[in-house]
Amino acid sequence: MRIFKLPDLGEGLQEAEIAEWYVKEGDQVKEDQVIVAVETAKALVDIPSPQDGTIAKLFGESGDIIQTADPLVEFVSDDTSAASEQSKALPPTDQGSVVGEMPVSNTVVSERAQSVGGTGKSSSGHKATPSVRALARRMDVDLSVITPTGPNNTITSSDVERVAKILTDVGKLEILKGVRRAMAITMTHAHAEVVPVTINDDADIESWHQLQDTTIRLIRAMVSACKQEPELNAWYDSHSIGRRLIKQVHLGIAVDTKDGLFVPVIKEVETISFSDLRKQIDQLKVALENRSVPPEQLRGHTITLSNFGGIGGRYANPVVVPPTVAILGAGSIRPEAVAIDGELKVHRRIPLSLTFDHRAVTGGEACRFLAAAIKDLELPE
Amino acid sequence: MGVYDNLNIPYSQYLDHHGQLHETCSDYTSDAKNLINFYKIMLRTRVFDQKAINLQRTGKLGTYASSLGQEAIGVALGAAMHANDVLAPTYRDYAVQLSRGIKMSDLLLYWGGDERGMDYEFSREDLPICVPIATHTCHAVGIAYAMKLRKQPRVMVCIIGDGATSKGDFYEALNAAGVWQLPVIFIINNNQWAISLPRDKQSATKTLAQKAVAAEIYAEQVDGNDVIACYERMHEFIERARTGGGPCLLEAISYRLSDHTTADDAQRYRSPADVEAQWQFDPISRLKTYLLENQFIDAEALDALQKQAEQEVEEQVKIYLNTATQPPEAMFDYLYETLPEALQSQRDEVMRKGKKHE
Repeated sequence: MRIFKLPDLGEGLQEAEIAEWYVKEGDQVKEDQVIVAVETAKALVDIPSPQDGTIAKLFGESGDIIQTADPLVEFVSDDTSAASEQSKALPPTDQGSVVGEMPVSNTVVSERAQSVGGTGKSSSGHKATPSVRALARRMDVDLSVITPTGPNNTITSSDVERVAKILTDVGKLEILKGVRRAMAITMTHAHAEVVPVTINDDADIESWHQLQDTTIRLIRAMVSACKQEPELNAWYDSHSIGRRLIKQVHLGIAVDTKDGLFVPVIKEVETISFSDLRKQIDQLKVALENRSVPPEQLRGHTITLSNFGGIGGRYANPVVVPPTVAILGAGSIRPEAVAIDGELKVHRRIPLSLTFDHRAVTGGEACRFLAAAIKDLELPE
Repeated sequence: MGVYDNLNIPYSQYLDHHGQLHETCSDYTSDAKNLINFYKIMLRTRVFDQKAINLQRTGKLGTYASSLGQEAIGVALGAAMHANDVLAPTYRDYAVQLSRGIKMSDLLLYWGGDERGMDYEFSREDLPICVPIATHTCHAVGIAYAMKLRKQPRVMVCIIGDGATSKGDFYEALNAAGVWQLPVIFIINNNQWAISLPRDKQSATKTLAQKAVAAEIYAEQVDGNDVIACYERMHEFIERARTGGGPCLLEAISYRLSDHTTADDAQRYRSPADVEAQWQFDPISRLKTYLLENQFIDAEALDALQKQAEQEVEEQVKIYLNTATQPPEAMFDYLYETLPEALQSQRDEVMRKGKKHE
């Protein structure tokens, strides 16, 4: 051994700080003679010389950090016998392993997750050498977004650099915050859990004589439908596989704001008069803009209305957010050609989309709910 | 005043820390040949120990647990046990293992990550080093049960540390050994430290030995730095168990003069001055004083023993360093007689990958 490299002095330590040299260049040392004290994350330890010899060079001074497997001491190479005795000692290319030889190779190792006993056929791993993986980590590039160009679909270092450049040109990743972040998490959760089915239909509102408040009519229709099909006004517990049918209708109303999607809740909506309801909704909108809605008014709903028609769109597949089991979406009111008693007429219609969680609600219940809502909506007032 | 101050756990010491003999009730105090042999194995253990640390510090060995200052317990035990008795050691018991013929090169292989180190040439029925704390107390009970069932005149010996006496395994093992009257001896090497936890924070009991009382197991304390007292008490306990006297427990009081392992720095939790003060109780120097003062040996012969130990260590290190490393699939080969299906497929995979690396 001509170069003595810093071994791993603990269990997986990456580096050590030189505390004090006990020898200087040119000194003769004996095997096992203490030559340096170093401080690791775990301990202050004395390191002995691995061999007899003369010190040619010390790598670093007190206070310097030496990485594990980097040179620590160089010995004057005056004889070869010392080296030949070190067959167990780590080879010149050693990586600082404490348990013996660490094979070095350019062979690509593709890792894949596997369970004990499984055949482990699925290969989710991305093929890249450790140095390429390290480069990707340094450049903050996710291996999964890289299209590999190397042999056997290997990701090369130029692949990493190419993608890093693209990402730099596009700009920094914007980490979602606040309401938008809450939306992302809530929707991911809902998508992973709910078994959604969406039914579409239209309510013919040609009979509406005077101008009506569509939102209020939609709410009234939902309350009426909940009375007839209470299974949709419920909370589902996926852990216990159970449901709670709720007597009162606590209506969540999806509201689009510049900050993101809010779902404020109007408790016991069935007990509130139309005029009070409109007042409350207006107040809610102002409060949302000021971000002054109290937290308890943003939770506890039993069913949801998403009246997106004011913005645009016709049908949708609204997302049911657990523990609720149903959401009604309403698109833009539009005049349509419809067949009435065998005659073609033009009537105004509201396109409706009802999504329900099929774990808690049957298709029949949902269809009857939608029919009940349409029946109420189609009343003149 | 403690609740159980009147338990009266006997404590033995013959050779005090000045190397002076207090009682002569033991025949072994005048047996020069045996005492020199004790000294020799303690010395071999200590020289081996220092070299193993140096090997770790220069990247040639994995993490290593030093036995510095606790050599007397193992040496005495090695002499008290018969060759066909069985030992369940922990990871600091090189003195007893060397006494029982286990080779230094094997111990180095073990700490170098090579399972062949536990495939002893001698004392082949001794258990491998047990790193988990106190789990081997239950193994020892099982083996002692087998000895009793087969009506063999053999004794099972299990060594644990002070920390192990806080484990459930230990209490369970004691209970079973007591109720079944098994030929098993529990030796507690109470070196005062369970990694960084000192003895007084380990257990409220005045002695660790008295934990045996609840299992109706006879227990004593002994000065673990006095090799003569250790041998005398161990010999008596083991022979009693061999002749159907049932289990016993011996708490040997020592001190861990070293770090817990090479991955530890004891200065972070105990002062160097406290450790320095403990060196006066060192088991090797007190026996050396006794041997010299009674002219059982002279300084020249002691020097020769030192050189002999160094030479042996050097040769054993060479054997270790020249042992070819095992292929990666060897990691599967020492746990099961027949490898389970799931591990077999993993082994095959490792072999395929290993070939690619060649």
